[in-house]
Amino acid sequence: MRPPRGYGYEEMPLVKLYATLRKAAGEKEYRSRARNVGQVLEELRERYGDGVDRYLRGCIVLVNGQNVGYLKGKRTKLKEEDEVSVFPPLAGG
Amino acid sequence: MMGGNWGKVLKVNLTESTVEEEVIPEEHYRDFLGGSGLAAKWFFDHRGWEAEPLSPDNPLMIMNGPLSGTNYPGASRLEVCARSPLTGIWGEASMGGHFSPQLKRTGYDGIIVLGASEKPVYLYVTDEGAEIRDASHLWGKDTYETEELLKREVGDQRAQVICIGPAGENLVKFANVMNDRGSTAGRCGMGAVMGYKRLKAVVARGSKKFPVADEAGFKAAREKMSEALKFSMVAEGLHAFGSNVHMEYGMAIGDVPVKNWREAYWAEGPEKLGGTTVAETILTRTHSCFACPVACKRIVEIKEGPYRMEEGPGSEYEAAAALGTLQRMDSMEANHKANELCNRYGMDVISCGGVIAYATEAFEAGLLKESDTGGLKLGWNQPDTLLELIRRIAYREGIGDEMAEGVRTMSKKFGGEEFAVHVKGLECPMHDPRALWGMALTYATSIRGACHCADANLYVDLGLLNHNELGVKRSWPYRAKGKAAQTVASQKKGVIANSAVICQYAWNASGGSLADMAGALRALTGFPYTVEELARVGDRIWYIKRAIGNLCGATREDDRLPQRILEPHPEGVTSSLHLAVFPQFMSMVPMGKIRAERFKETTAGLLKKYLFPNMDKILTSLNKLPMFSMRGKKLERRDPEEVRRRTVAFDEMLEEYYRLRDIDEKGRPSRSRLEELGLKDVADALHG
Ligand code: SF4
Repeated sequence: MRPPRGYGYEEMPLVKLYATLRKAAGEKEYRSRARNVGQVLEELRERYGDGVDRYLRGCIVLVNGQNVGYLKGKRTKLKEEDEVSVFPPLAGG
Repeated sequence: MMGGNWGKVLKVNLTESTVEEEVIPEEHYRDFLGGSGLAAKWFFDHRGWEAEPLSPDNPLMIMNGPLSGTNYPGASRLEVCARSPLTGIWGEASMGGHFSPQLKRTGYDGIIVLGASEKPVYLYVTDEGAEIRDASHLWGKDTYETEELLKREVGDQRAQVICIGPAGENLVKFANVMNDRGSTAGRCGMGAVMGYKRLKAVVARGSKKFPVADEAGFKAAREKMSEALKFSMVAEGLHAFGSNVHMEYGMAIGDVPVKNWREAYWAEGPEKLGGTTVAETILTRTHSCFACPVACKRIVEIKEGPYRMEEGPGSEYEAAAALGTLQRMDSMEANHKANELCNRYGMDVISCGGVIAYATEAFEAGLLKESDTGGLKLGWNQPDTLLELIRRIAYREGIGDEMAEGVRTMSKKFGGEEFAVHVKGLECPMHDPRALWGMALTYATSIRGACHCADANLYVDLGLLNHNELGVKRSWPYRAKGKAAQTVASQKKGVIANSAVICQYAWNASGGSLADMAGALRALTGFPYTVEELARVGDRIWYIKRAIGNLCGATREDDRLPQRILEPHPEGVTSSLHLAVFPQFMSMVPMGKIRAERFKETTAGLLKKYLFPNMDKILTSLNKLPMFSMRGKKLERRDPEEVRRRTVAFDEMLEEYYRLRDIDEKGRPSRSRLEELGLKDVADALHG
């Protein structure tokens, strides 16, 4: 059995930041205490201040590569081994 | 008098060494805008389809649009059009950079080149018209050198040059036309058309001020657009990381093709090749096309190592993917070197990457032998082989001679058509329809063959753009429902962008509003455009181009996508699903025709409901048996939803699309639809 949540650093979901959001946050990734996607977004605002707010409006969140739009949106639950990728609105190609 | 345009083009005949002016009627500008729209109208009126692509009579049309060369953000572009030697149908390619404003200032809306010269020549276009000059001393030079030499020769650093490199001279079917070292009219082999005509370059330097119908109105429209771009997140991303900002997100959703479209996901790819990494390592500065605040172009320098590169244009997303992930190659330096080689030789990176990836897979499958490749061992992640192949293609040496014909021709000769990824002979650009289903329709129904800039579907499927103005809802990326309507709306916008002419990055980053576009064009030209009228113009241009395709011989059969990009990837997270691919499986069951249809439908329903969702479980257990060990590949966890998403419901979308576009069983637009849009002459040519 896994130890209960929050015991070890390794067991927390990994939040990865990309492109301009990464630049604004000044950090590539961190381990999160959040239990769902909504909490990750709140946590990001707390962690990096208002400066990142504009990148989070309309941002795209993937949990293990799946767009949360197809899962339960902000209510998508996170397990400890999950990887959360947060992208600011972007396009290229 | 209308604004934005001059009302005339230069007509150059290289066989007879003549130059004359041709006046274009004002209503043609009103109904077809300019750029590729006006070019298509001219091509149709002069029965361009009767000439073979590589023949003197194929007209090469270098066309500005009303917006081209103005300081409206993103309006740095022009279109190069002709019948394509690569596809045999209508060919067009859009080019940014700095040529279009110079051409505009000469007092002409475009240059139409007919005939073919005996010796190499270049055109020098100024306020006084055009002069045909000898270019023997430039033949064989690469595009970077040619540009520099010509600027020196005409004694004016502000003169702008578009030119071809050795690939165009050697009639490589996907040779491009280059400007400003990193801006290209890339697709459809327009460089080969120039090469056939022995037209090495066109130099433009003008000083005239073009007319604007309503100066104040146009200024206001321009400021509105600049303001929108200032606050656009998309523009900010493009500026910071270039178009290659897409690599990370694209890979996360499976949009980036890996290993000739075989592998679903390559975790390390973006880390190695993506725009963020480039910005952190070899980027020296950003660069922009004329009057564009977005400045998405990259300038890079590689100081040492085998792929040393002096400061110059870096890979954009398409190059990073086509000459990177598609080859599963993880060297950023080699990728930039490959991009530079393609630029210098004057070759389209997408087609070039596509044909190399095809050849590598064919080599692996034993269809291509070492005796064919001149001893070269093709394989994935082999930077030196990649660079060598690029050189051989440009000079048509050995296997390069075959590859220079493109994947369609090559796969017909050597086999492997199922993994030759093209539509109508044009190699697919680097967006996977299995990630964004809209791209399936975009590729299949784009006029010039597989193309991602013919319409705005990419932006819509990425969730950054909507068609509310046209009363069309955007549909989910993985749903067939509503995709056809979305694509039709996207095509209207794409056609406008390529006729007005404006950069799609810039326009879409600002929100891609048709109302704003109508406002800007109204003020500029003086024609009373509205959103509805522009939508009609978008349709009119689309239909005339579709008809030209038909007249060149294209039918419904050509609107097909290769199976490789419609079903789950054979490798990566969605591996080993070839057993589950239903259509092939069913076509093996022999039975009477009518009953077979019913049977197919019912079984399809049942399989979809019960077998597909459990496919991974079934395959995982099968995998334990030795005879089902999936050729030694490890079967990874697969989400049934994932499987559904990666199986594109293409036929369903296409049928609906034909219905909306009113396309008959031969693939031609109906007479009534054409007549509604004022294209009676087109209807007569098509339906007799
Ligand atoms: S967005 Fe990029 S490609 Fe488009 S006009 Fe601006 S600099 Fe050129």
